[in-house]
Amino acid sequence: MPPFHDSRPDALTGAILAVEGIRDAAVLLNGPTGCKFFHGAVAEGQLPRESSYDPLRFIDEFYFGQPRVPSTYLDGDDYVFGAAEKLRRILPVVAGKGHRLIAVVNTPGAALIGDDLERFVRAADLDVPCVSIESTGYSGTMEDGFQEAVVRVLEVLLGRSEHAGPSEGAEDAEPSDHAGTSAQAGSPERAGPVEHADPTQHAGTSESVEPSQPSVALVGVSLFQRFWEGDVAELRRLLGLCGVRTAAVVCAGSTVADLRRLGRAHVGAVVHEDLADQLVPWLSEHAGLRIVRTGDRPPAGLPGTPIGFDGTEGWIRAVCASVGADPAPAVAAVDEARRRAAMHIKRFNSLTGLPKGATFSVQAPASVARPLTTWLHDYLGMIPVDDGREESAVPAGLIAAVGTEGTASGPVADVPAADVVLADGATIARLRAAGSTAAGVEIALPSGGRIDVVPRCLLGAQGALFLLESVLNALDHDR
Amino acid sequence: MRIGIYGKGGIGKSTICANLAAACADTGAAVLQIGCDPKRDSTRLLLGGRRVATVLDYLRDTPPDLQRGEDVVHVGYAGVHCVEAGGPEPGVGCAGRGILSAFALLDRLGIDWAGYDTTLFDVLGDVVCGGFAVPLRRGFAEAVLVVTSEEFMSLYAANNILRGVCNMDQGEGRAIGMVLNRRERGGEAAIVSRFADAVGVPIVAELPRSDVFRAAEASGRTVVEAFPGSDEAAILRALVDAVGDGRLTTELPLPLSDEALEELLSGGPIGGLLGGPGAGPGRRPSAGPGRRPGAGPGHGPTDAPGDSPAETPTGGPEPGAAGAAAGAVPTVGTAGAASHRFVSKSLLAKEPLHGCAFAGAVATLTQVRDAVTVAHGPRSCTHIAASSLLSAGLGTLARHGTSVPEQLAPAVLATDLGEHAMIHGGLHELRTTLAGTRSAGGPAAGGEPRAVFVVTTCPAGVIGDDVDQAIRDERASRDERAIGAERAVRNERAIRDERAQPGASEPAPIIRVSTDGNLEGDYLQGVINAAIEGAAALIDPDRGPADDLVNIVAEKNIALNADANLDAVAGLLSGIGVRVNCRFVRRTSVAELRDFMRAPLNLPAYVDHLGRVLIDFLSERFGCAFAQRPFPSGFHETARWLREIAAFFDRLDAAEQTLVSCRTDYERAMAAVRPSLSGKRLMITTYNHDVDWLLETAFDAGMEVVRVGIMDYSQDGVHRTRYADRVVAEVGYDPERRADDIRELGPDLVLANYQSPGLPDTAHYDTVPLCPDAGHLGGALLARRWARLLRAPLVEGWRRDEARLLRT
Repeated sequence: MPPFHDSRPDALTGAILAVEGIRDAAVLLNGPTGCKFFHGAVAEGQLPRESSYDPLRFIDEFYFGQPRVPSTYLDGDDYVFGAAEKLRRILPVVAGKGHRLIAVVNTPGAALIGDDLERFVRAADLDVPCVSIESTGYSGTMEDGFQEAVVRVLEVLLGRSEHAGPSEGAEDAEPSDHAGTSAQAGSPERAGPVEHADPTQHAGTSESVEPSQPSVALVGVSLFQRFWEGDVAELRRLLGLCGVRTAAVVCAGSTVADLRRLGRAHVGAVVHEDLADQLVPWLSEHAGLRIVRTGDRPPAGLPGTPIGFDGTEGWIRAVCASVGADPAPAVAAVDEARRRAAMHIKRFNSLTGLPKGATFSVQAPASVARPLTTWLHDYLGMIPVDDGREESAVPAGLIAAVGTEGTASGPVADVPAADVVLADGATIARLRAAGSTAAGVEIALPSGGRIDVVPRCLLGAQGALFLLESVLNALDHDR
Repeated sequence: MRIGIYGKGGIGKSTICANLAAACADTGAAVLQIGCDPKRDSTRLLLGGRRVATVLDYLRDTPPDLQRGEDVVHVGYAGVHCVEAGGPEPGVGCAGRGILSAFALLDRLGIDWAGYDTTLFDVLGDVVCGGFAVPLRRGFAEAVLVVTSEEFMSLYAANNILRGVCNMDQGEGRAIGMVLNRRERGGEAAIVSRFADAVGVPIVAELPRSDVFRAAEASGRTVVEAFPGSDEAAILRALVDAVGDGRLTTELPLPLSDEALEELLSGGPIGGLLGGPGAGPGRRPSAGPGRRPGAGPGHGPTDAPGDSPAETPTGGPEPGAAGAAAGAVPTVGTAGAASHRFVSKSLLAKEPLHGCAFAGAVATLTQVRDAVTVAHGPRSCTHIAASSLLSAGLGTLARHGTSVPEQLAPAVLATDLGEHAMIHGGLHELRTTLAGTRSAGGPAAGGEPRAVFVVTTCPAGVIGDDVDQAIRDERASRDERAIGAERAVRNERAIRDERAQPGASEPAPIIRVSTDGNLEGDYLQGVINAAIEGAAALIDPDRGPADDLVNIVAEKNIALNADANLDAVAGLLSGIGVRVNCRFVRRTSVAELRDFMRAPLNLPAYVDHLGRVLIDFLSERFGCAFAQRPFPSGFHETARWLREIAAFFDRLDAAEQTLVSCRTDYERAMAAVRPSLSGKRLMITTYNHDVDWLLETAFDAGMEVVRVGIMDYSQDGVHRTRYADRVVAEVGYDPERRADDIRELGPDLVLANYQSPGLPDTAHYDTVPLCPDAGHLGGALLARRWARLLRAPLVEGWRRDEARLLRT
């Protein structure tokens, strides 16, 4: 039986969320509302800018009750006659909201009409830089769409495109100095660039900067990751302990101003390789950014993504080494987490013998699945189970490395033997609907609906503790 | 006969087409000419030089319920019916998509294709995309005439057109010939003959360069009309006669590769034939079956005893066969007027479209648990549609603990079209995916699906894949497989002497549902189309009714309380001995849909726009009887609703017994809240157009209702109330007035569908669901919450933090 459609996103989603991941940028979607609502909801859910769901707050034309991702609401007539008139009207409306970057993105259907986005952008003569993305491709991967959009954005912000806008070269400008006046004049209620949900979480320039302080730009983080914000905060914390400033997170929480200064970071550190493999050469060549890669595509060269204690320590050491910083404070923080973990594991193990020997299954992108599988196996002694599918994302090399009876990724809906399933909310719900008794740990989107007020993360020392807590509670409940 | 006339732009297609139409009409035939060119001048010479409104302009400017066929069909010379598809200005939009849309509208408006003896499609330039290939699809043009001159680019275009014909023909020939329209006196006609010989398509008429055409055009007429005695008119009439007499055979052309064409035109030897489907890998050694023996370069139409036009396709939804009596006047605009009533509110009002028909159809069709839905388009479309389903499924699970497998694991197979398909078409992917459904079962099916639905996205609609053809091919393949399986069963039976299950190997129906992303309309239009084209196609109208059964119609699949409401309603029905037969369309099966007519009564879950459309459809198509009222919420509605159903089944005594228990529950619940709510002032602003369930609760709790504001809503536009004497509801309420109204009226409690910031902190606020809980306690449960709410602090502490920290 062929597999039914799973819920993996494609390049359109990757591209939209890359731009929406910039705190003061906005996607303007040239396409039908059917392509808008989902992305508007995900963007606002993952990086909230507003505090209300009330659609009456966002009744402006093109917004359809959502604060994010305005669209030209293409219909059958527009497909035949083109969307010129709507494109002419929407650009100033969106620019009036005070964003510092606008990306005009064609949906797959709109891309076929061939509306000349560049022409409309030029004609609008806006006081804000614009990126036009004529096509995000068809059925490409989310990762490809994300990275291609990041490149298009950086081309404009770093001055390699003709639509760099009037602020070109104003790299030192603080966000409040930048193209904000039109928003305040046009929309006093939602004045300023955008409403930042939590300025203290801002990954960029909000902290004081010492000129000599080593800095890093994180590369390979996306809003489409369930805990992206917690992950960034944790890596920032650990790097900060070592005196390394996180200057920017590329298209995941930083501002336009942060990205304009990207080249000033001492290094770019890859977090998730599958969201950075195409970006890395571009950043090296065009942004002048020295890149630290601690992992690679399968077969993996560990430690890769900073998941688990060893993975985190390896990642921190590599980044610190690249900027000449001492990793000891972060390693000490990881050790503290190790101590806490070991104590809880020992107590749990003394009663139950677990988690050793418990089975698990993972469904996640490779950059998460591989290090997570390794950690659960090596550190906790758990056994990954294999559903026997050939399309499993975990490479044979890893299977050999962990010496288990199976792999740990790919569709898990048919896996009966796992005690714990680490996956997205939909997969976990499907398993429950199918009568599975496996405990679910949600590590990816789509979310099952849980609201996390306390920030959670998968990465770093805190991420390892979260995973451990989830696994122990799941196994304890099972008993 | 239906003939597509193709050729390079500016080659004279429209002039020749109009002249052929005029010559045809002069014989007394009923003729239709459709101009498929954004220039919209195809039929000008038939209309005295007049330019007419195009189908696409009409489609854009006229609300669907006012569209009539006669408005786009104009009567010209000798009664020729003239249609101009129209299209965008040069350089913008998608003209190919325009042709697809125009043909779809003509179909919807009920154009009587079968009523014409001759239909001529005058098509712009090359067959550059799926849109321009529409007339070539089965059911439209049975024959293709290519107009060419002796110029290279014209022949190059002709060769490309023949490639298109090959691609569409799947082994059946439809090219009946080329018309050589000479551009230069004394030009090199021989080169066209060489080309005709090489591609196996004869020159069936040769028109000299002549001032007669220019003179006729200057007077806004065809040569046939203006100069009926001219040689040119005679040539055109001869061609018409040849077509009419069946003397021209349809050929499967052998188009050349570009290199071979260049060689040919430069006088070199011929090689590198492309061939077409069914033409084999090399050049055809001789004329194929039915080819006119004498056809060759420079020959005109000749007698060809025994030849006959291509067989007219039969069956399916395509336009009917030609052949009505000559002189009959076809009608337009009748069938479409009826079918086009089943449209969403947004389409009807020409409002911006919310969501897309594709997603609405996927959400509806996946509710048929043992069917599979094929989503034809790029991955993003399926991902977005599936995410919407998941959201509803996960929400239902979280809020109500109810697992809806149809939403959590929808049975969707996606074609995941890539870049290549956008350029070259996605039929290969569609065929492969359709074949894959043979071994795919729905989540609850555990085997081969009982039905397959096919829905399409915007990109698939724009590139114009011939989905119907792919479905026909798959059906044919399944039929062959079924025949084989039947034989196997028979053999086995002979061996084992066992009785085979009748129909055991009957192939699952494959049903296309019109969506094309949002080209067919918004999300609700997709829901409607899925219901009437998809689910309703499975209903067996001959199943007789049985006692004690009702169907549920027009539930909302995105409502998280849909199943909880069904449980509440089913509980009430059980009190009068009535059971649910089929839910149309939620969590059902092919068998339940087939048995739909077993229920003598149908219950609408909602009587909003969607509910009314489905009621109209099922009443008209199947003669279904409906209860007047939707699912009830509150005691009064419950009592009225149950009595109506009980009266239908003659169970009024049982209903009264059930209602005694309901009344006791309700009165107990209201007595509990009355001390807290009595005398309190209530204001309601909502998108719900039916608020009686709220008003009943409020009045029975002793509350004073100071304002009811009903805001515009995409799903409903009809307000109804039984409390008109107690409160005046303002339909079209301006939400900007809320703050002032609250200050002026001083309500204790304000209800809305969403909590809005920035309102005065003089009242308590709460939300009400867009889809109320059904049953006699629907409102009472909310009232219990209101009573608690009024005991809570007027302004919670977090609001001060929000004001201090978030708004700065």
